Amino acid sequence: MQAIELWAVTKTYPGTAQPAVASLSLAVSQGALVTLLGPSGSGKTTVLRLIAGFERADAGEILLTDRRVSGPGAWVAPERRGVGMVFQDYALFPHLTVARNVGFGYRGPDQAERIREVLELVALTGYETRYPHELSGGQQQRVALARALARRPVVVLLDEPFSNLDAALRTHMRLELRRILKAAGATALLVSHDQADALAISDRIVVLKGGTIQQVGSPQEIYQRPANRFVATFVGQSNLLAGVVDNEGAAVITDLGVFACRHDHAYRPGERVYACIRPDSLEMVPELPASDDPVQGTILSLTYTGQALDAVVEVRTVDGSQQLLVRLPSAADVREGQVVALRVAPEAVALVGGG
Amino acid sequence: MRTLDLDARPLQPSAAVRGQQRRSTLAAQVGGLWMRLWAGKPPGLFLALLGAAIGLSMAWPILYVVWRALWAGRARWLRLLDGRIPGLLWQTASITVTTTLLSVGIGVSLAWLVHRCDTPGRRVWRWLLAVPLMVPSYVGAVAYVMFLGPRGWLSTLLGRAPFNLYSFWGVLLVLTLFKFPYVFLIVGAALKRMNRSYEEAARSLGLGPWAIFWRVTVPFLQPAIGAGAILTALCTLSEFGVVALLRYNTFTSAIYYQMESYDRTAATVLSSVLMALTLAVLGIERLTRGRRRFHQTTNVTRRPDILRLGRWKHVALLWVLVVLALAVLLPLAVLTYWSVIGVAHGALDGRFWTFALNSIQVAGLAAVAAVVLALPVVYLRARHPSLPSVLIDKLSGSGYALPGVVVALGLIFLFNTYIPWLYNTAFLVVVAYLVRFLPQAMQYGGASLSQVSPRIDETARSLGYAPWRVLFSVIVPLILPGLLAGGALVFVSAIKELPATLILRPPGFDTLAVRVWVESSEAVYHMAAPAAVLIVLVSLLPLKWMLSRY
Repeated sequence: MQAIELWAVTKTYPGTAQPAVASLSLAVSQGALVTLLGPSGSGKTTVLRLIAGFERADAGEILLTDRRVSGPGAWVAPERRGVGMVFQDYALFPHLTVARNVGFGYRGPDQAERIREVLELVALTGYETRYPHELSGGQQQRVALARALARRPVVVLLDEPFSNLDAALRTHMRLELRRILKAAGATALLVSHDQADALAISDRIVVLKGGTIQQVGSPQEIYQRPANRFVATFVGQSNLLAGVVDNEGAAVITDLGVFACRHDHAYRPGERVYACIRPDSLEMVPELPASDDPVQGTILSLTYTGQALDAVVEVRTVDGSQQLLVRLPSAADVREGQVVALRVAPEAVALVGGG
Repeated sequence: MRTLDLDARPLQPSAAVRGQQRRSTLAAQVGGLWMRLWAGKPPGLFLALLGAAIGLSMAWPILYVVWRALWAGRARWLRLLDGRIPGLLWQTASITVTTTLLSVGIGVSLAWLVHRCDTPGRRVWRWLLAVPLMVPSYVGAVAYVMFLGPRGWLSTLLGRAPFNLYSFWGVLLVLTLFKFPYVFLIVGAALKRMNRSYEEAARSLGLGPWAIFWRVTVPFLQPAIGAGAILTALCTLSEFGVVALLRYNTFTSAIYYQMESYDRTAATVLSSVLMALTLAVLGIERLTRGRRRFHQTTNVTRRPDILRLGRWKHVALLWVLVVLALAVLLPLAVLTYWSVIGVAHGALDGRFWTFALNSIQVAGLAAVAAVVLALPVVYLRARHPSLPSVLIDKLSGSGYALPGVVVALGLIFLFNTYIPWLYNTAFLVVVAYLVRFLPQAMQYGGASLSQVSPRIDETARSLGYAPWRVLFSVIVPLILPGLLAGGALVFVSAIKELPATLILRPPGFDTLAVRVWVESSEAVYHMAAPAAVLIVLVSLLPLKWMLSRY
């Protein structure tokens, strides 16, 4: 059974010409942790608000566990959808204690028991009588999550869950969030603009741009086989080289040379494509015989990031030059202006459409 | 590795789903129109209807006055336009303009002296100078009649009145003394907000202190001065008690006397002209506010330098003390003196307490009703922003700037014509208070609601709460302090209100304000003073809130 189904959902806000979400169709299976990843204005938050029922779709249907909640002639109010919502600013009720916040939506006879249970799940046992303003940002987020989970929702929606946390807490909360959601057995749909968060936490990533889906896949798929140039540049950094697929379909011919590419692509020999090479797929090699055909270039700039040394290398081509971003080991002994030879790691070139 | 069944995948909707159009039934069309009307966020039908009903009932009396004026007939309009209106227009405009200019002069100078100069005792003066605003102007006028009038202290002392209080100059004196704090408070607040870096930047560009004042400070204060001036002008336009007590004719008093002589049609014509004047002033405000809007570039405010006045310090102090003596000390002294005499002559008898109880009853009822009615209006405005909610907000607030006499006139017409069994009951007085003071409750309620994120509402909805349960279990508890403050303000305003009470009260139903008016009109000062003092005491209650707002 699918927890969430969107069928050709379209939403245009009043007073705007461009639809925020344009004929979007997506299914999320029960228990999955899925991230909607996209830049601001890509419609990702609108998708969340449409599922929660805070906005009404202009067209299309929304189903939650096979129940039609939105569509022609069908409308289920937010309070009857059984959706748990965790907002970016957490939206804790400031006049209620932690326990009463968590129990707000759960009215069963075992309320006290359930509150205890979810607070234990989010590791906040002992905080029952605190007020929201007495908690840290990370604790507030746990309360918001506990509150959403308490009534065992069909699906939990999280809007930018990490944006209000500082860097150290953020890495920790990624793990925590995944642990809590999996322990609760919840289906979760997250919204994020940060690819690192998305790659780290998700079972599946849905990349959005301009209200339409660019690609759906596991984090590895999204990173290693981006579907188009947008995904290639938005999720991680990429060097994109214009080229043509060779006769066997096993390599791509570019201005910088011929690179062996992955075999699982759908492009025909002779088709114009882009070779997508990640900065960490390029490695520096000692000068080799000309037959091995390394790419030679001059280091324009170096940025030390701690884990690595990011170099911008300018490579001469037949008619001009191209800059490549190369991730070198942080201990690499190089300097600006130095001429280096580069080689592409085997099986590391993905092809994306030439559109 | 992550298991395959935890999946998300794109769906391929069939052509049927893609091509699905909303069926174009009548119901669907109406639904679509309703959605668009509310900008995609329609409230529940009950809330929408409730809001519309509140807005219409608040605006109805006023609109009805205009409606009746339109049917007053050409002949009557022409006669009034030829006869009364030009004179009234001149008298109203001249007193409004002079009062406003004088208030700006006094207000700005005092604000400057107590906020930016080392005037001795400035912290005390800052709040004492706000006191005259809390005292209703007609109480001030009564005090000045007791002091400067033909039978006043000074006249008795000198053997003759030193100055004819019943004149343009008398009205100007009293109005200015009790209205200038609007300018004083608003400009003072702007001075407090002003970042010293602007003046420091000017100094680094080579300007002297005097040039800085005129080229940096004054332009910076212009919006505040403008806002204070507009407020003063609006209050002067709608002022009834002072002009009527001092027998000066402006639109408000003319409308009142026209009604007393049962020429209500003429009263509607005069009211329409007065409303047009009020709208003109509001229009000026809109224009000036639209063009001049300053934003501080940072939130980091450092308190500006305090200017050392040197030997001018004493002149500054003298100026502050003169204004305080005339606007606070003298009126309170006179009223206290006559109150003591009154109490000695048994003014605090059963009748007095009946008046007080009447005041508390109608004002309390109005305050409670205002809080209840303000809630749906501010909720619609904040959570369903769209044309209808703005309209409801404006209609509900239409009584704000309008004179009490006009509101009373509209209510008399309405209740006389449509609900005669409520005519001549205290209920009418309560309704008049609501029309006039609901905007105050809306302001406070709206301000608190704007502090509550709409995400709070949405969270409660997603946790299974229907809209009305969200309102009562989350929103009301959160904004209760603001609602109560608004209600308290309505209560105080209603206790002070004179013209509508005077016109609409049923026979024999006297409030404190009415007693002050009646007794002082008949020069029975020792009977008027205790009621006036009681009103002043009640009026001073919200001073603390008022100061924290500005």
